[in-house]
Amino acid sequence: MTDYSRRMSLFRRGMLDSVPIVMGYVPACITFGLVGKSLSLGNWEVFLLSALVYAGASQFIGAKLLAAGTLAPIILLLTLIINLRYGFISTSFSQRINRQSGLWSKAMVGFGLTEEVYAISMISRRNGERKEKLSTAYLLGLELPPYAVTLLSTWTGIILAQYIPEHILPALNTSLYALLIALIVPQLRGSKRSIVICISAAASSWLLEPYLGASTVLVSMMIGAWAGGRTSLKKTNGREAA
Amino acid sequence: MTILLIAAMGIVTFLLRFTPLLLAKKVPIEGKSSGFLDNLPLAVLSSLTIPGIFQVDAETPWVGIAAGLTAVLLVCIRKVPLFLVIVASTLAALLVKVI
Repeated sequence: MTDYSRRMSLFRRGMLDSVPIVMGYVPACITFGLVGKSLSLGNWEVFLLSALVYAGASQFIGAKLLAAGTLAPIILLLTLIINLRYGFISTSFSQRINRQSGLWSKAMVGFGLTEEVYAISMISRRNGERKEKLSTAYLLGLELPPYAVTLLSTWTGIILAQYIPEHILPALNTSLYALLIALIVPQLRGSKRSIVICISAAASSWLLEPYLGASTVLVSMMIGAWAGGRTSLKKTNGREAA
Repeated sequence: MTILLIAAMGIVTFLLRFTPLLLAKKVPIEGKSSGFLDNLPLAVLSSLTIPGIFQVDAETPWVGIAAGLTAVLLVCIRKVPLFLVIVASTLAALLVKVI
């Protein structure tokens, strides 16, 4: 196989793996378009929050802050705090990518690195290719469709803002949680450490959410990962993922 | 003006994602810190799911719970393809909402 066709097949595999993410993002981004409009932001402001920030829940917070006319330095500081989790996610991720890849490809991969992309790529790695680095071609294939549908669905939401009954949307948004659960549950089988991580992260997130709001994930993911490190390091072999 | 601010928010977010990739050392981090980072994916997923799933519909928490239970059941029972799990859970949520 030539280098080109090898990369194309990796790219296609990435796109295939991205299907569940895409299904989660479509309703979420339509909702974002609707919510943005209901906060009476301009069409382009709503769209650019998706296109440039591209950070899930923190977009909603950003939209609310913008609509409330919060001062720019405060908005930027809050953006930094809320999205600090990406720093940790990316640090963890950086050990799995090809370090020799160029600046430009690292920039593209970095831009598209959402929680869901991170989870899917880390888990697909566990399926028999533990040693292998994730190739740039695969990652771009995995990241491109979710970003493309984010743009399309946000715009769709902006346009639909006049027609859609808003009360039906939360039900559609559960698709993102179904994706999360489908990623979590298979990891819990036969691994005491995974169960400890899951329960401590979920419990701390639940308890802290009323106080920390959007920054909760940052704190509770540290608690979960730390608690997992405290449990016996005896390797369990049941950590296969779907 | 607002557009510029949004662009700045985008740059902040991008730098958080990009800088660690840029700084990645040639030698992988071993030992304790690596264990910590290995635990992160699951920890992130868990804290994103709870309590968010209960709040997805502010009026009817059952919408999120129905989707969650359907997802857990389908994942546990058999190797159902991921996209079917998502479709079924979302339908369950819609059903609860309509009822």
